[in-house]
Amino acid sequence: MTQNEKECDWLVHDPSRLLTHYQPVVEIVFRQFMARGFFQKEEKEELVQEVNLQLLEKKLASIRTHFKGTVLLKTYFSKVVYNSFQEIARHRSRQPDFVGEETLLHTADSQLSPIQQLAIRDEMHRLEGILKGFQRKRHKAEFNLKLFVRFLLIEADIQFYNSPKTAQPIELIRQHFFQAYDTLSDKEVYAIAVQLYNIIEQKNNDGDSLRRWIDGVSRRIIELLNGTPPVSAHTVESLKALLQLYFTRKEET
Amino acid sequence: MDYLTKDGHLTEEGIALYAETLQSENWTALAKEVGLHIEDCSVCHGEALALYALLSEMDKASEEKEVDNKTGGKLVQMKVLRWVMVAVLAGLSFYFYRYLDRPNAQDSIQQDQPIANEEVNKEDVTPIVKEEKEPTTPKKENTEPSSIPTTPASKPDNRDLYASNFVPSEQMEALLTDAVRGDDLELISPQQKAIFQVQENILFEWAGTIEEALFLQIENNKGEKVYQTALSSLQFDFQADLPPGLYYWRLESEEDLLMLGRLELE
Repeated sequence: MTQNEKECDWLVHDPSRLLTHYQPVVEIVFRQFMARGFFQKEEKEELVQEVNLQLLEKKLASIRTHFKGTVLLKTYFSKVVYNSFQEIARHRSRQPDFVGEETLLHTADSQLSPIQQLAIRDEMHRLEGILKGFQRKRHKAEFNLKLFVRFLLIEADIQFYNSPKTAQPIELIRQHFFQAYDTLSDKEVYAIAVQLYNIIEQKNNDGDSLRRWIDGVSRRIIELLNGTPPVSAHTVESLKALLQLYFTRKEET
Repeated sequence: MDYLTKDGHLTEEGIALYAETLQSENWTALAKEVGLHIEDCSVCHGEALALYALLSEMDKASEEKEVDNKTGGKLVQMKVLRWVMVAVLAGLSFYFYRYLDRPNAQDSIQQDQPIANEEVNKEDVTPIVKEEKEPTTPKKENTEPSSIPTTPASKPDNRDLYASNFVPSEQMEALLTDAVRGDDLELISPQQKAIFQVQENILFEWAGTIEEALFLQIENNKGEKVYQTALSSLQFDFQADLPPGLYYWRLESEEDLLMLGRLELE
């Protein structure tokens, strides 16, 4: 019996045990909401208790009815718990503390509180989710977003595109983007990069076309990060800061 | 499987499915209707991203827990090792402390032993006044260490306490050589380093003339004043109602130490 099957069995036959087993999930969800500024640390005991009560009284029964088993029970349960805290926040008219430019631009890691760090981590996970959602275009998006924030490229960035056909644009990229290129305009940057994509995609676009595409990508990312209802207040500048942080950490790992 | 609610948004399971797909990146397993809806609906997309962030955070917590479990045994070992090291260091410190302090401890024993032996012998002999008896204990170079306990406190030995009353005071012994005589006075009795019995009358007598007020002070070998009196003449009969031991007496004017002597009570 897999762990998920065991948990599904507890859902039917021993919901209290399942709830006890899933307490870390409830606490992590609370922490996420706290990091977003919806709740205060002091409210933890009360709110966790309230959510547990809701789960025991009706929501575990609802899960039993609606859960079809196409995902892990833990994932489904997490979503239910997330909804519960969201409902409480709405009911209490709580507003989030937006993660914006201020936190991302002016605060070094060491100066961040654990809660701020968690909020930024949450933001980075969501950014990662958005980038993963590009699927086959993910690499193109990430490559051009690096150019968008003038992030120094390394061999790993061009390895994916390296072939005899692309040797010439790759060399141009090495020449221009492997050292500081803040002084180059977007037009200049994408005029270089588009040469690579024209070969790969067998197109004949100009740099402005690639620039417009990446503008659209960044707008979409900002829209998704800010959320509906809003949980962040990203601007182009704060997105750039978040992307810098994201790419830096990704390279470190 | 229907992943859409009546109002056209993804069900909880639809959102959970997209979040799990983001984790696995197995896009072929994603139901087409979920993928299409996510592309068009920012609300559901946002909710799926929030759930994905939550799952990532839970994974991170699980990884940390796993690392903690793996390192847990090592940590216990390290804790035990740390305490063992502390114990060894404490043992070594104690050993060196004792070892380094041993000369002083031996010194004390050497100082006390002859007097103690004498005390043992004293039980068999009739007490007599002995003249000019030099201390049989070696002169202490430094009396301070003997007052510092070098081992955990043990029950005091009466024999040791008794013997310690006869240890000469280094400071007073040094003064004896310089100040046994005042300029205008001469000591008649008691003789220096005379031995008396407890309760025996001791006659202090000086010859000479002096017009200042005189004071006789007696202190034990530890420098504690045990008796003091103003003298109305150059003769004073003192009943030695003091415990056995070594004593030093001082004849002083208001300003000066005129004479210093030593006596022993048995």
